[in-house]
Amino acid sequence: MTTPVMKGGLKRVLGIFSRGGFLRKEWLLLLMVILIMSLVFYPREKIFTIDVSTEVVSFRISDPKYSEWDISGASLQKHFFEETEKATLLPDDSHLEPSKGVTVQLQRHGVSTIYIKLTCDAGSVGRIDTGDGKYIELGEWALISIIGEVKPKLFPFRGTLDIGDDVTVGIDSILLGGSVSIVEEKLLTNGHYIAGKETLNPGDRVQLWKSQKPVSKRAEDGSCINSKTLNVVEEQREMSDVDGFVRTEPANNYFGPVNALNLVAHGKADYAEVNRFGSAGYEIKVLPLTRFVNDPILAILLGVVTALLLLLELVSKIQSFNDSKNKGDDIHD
Amino acid sequence: MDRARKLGLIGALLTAFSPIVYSIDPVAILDPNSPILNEVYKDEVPVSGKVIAGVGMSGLAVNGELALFPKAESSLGFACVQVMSRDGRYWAENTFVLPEIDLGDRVQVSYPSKYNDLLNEYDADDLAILSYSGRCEKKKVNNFMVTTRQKLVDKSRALIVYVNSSRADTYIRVMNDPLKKVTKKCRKITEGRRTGYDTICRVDMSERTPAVNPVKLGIYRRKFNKSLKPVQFLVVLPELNS
Repeated sequence: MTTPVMKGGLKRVLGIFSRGGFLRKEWLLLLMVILIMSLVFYPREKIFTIDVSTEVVSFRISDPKYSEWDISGASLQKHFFEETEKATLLPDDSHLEPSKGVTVQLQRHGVSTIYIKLTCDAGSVGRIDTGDGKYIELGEWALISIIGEVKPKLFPFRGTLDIGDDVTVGIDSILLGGSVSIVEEKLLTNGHYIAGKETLNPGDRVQLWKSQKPVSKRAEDGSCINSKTLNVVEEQREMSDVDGFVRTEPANNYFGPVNALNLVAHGKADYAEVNRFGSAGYEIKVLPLTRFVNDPILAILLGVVTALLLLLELVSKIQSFNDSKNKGDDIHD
Repeated sequence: MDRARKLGLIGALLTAFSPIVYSIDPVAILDPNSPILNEVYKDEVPVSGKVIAGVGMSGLAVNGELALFPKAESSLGFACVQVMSRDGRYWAENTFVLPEIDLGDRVQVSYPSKYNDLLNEYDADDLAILSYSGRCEKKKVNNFMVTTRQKLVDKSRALIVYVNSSRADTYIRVMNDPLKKVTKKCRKITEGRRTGYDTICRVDMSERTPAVNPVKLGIYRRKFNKSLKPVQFLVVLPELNS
């Protein structure tokens, strides 16, 4: 039973969705689907987090100030062709100041010597501040060996990252294991959620990439010049810059020896490329449709829209019931 | 049209197309004793332990997809052609019969691969070809001939050596040419899979060719604190008139 006021209000509501009403149900449905889909496919910031244990890792330094390392007590070799070169023992408080664009490779087997290799195609890989106001200038190639370190060391860096190596003949250093997690921005908020996590197998090789074509850039003065820096090689895509650090534990660690190099890195990227021996490899990325499952805000919005559609359907049914009832009344009259 | 005019027209057409007819290179064909191409394309990659994966030259004109530059003495002999992709998925090793050749002849290779479409997709630096005189059963080889591909035609003229360096830093040196006896750093490939080879060495040939032929090349590698055994080999250069 309805009062005359309620009847009038319901009629007005029903009138909006009636055939002549300004909001037809079909249009509203289409509008909502477009709204939801545009929210799903709208590009969002994705942060890849890599947490691995590896025997070898390479990075190309993009921010030298962020990538200075304490190399006190390490030994230095500067000449590629002189294997028997007598290494220079670096004094306490020695710091490595790498050049922009230099390729750094860290290698360690188990808890043995940590090797830091710096290479350029041309120019200088950087210099070493020996802590007493003097600098050792480096050329295109340098090898720093840290032997018998008694305390943990941390090597922070900012640059592009290449973890592990493809398994093939002559390779002795590989990725030992770890994971890649993808953290994605929540819809309409500053929050983030974990959109996916993949486990890496021993022997995998991982790189982070952006989808777009790289912009052409010239090497800056004083930077390490290599084919990548100069964009000599035509590329269809660009590697992502990440912030990260490598931690090495001493052999006599309190918890026992911790193997090789532990690396944690975070950076914005579109996908991670994994090369795996014996397979074609794969890409780790977030598909937009998985946001329905992972993004709580989008899931709530979808719930609200579904409830609204149900309400519309109910209103539509009431309207058709009223119409058929009115027709019946007219026939009886 | 009378008979004389018809003959004249045919003659004119033949004359017009004659340079094309004459520019077709002699063709090397598969050894009749093993007429099916010995090739593999799969994700479970075959791995080769050879340091030198290929020797090629860019900037040379070529008919067809693949060409060799054998010595005239190899005329009507055999040539082994090994093809390997950078990602290691494609690998082939086959003996070809060389046609009759003169000094400086370029030999087109008839390569009836069932993966031709896939091979054509490989970029200039993604496919290494190694070729030498004789059958593929020959064990110890350090004398290679220059090969080239259609995808290398537009690049500047350079001798290219594809190296499986074991991820070591690599340099190339021309050993027997006093004017070109320089050591040059090779480019390490950092992108994508490098199961076949990981380094590309180039010796520029755009200004002048070495005064000696064959040219002796040395590949020097160093892996952190350890130098790997140097590899030295000869490459027979083609007669470069243009």
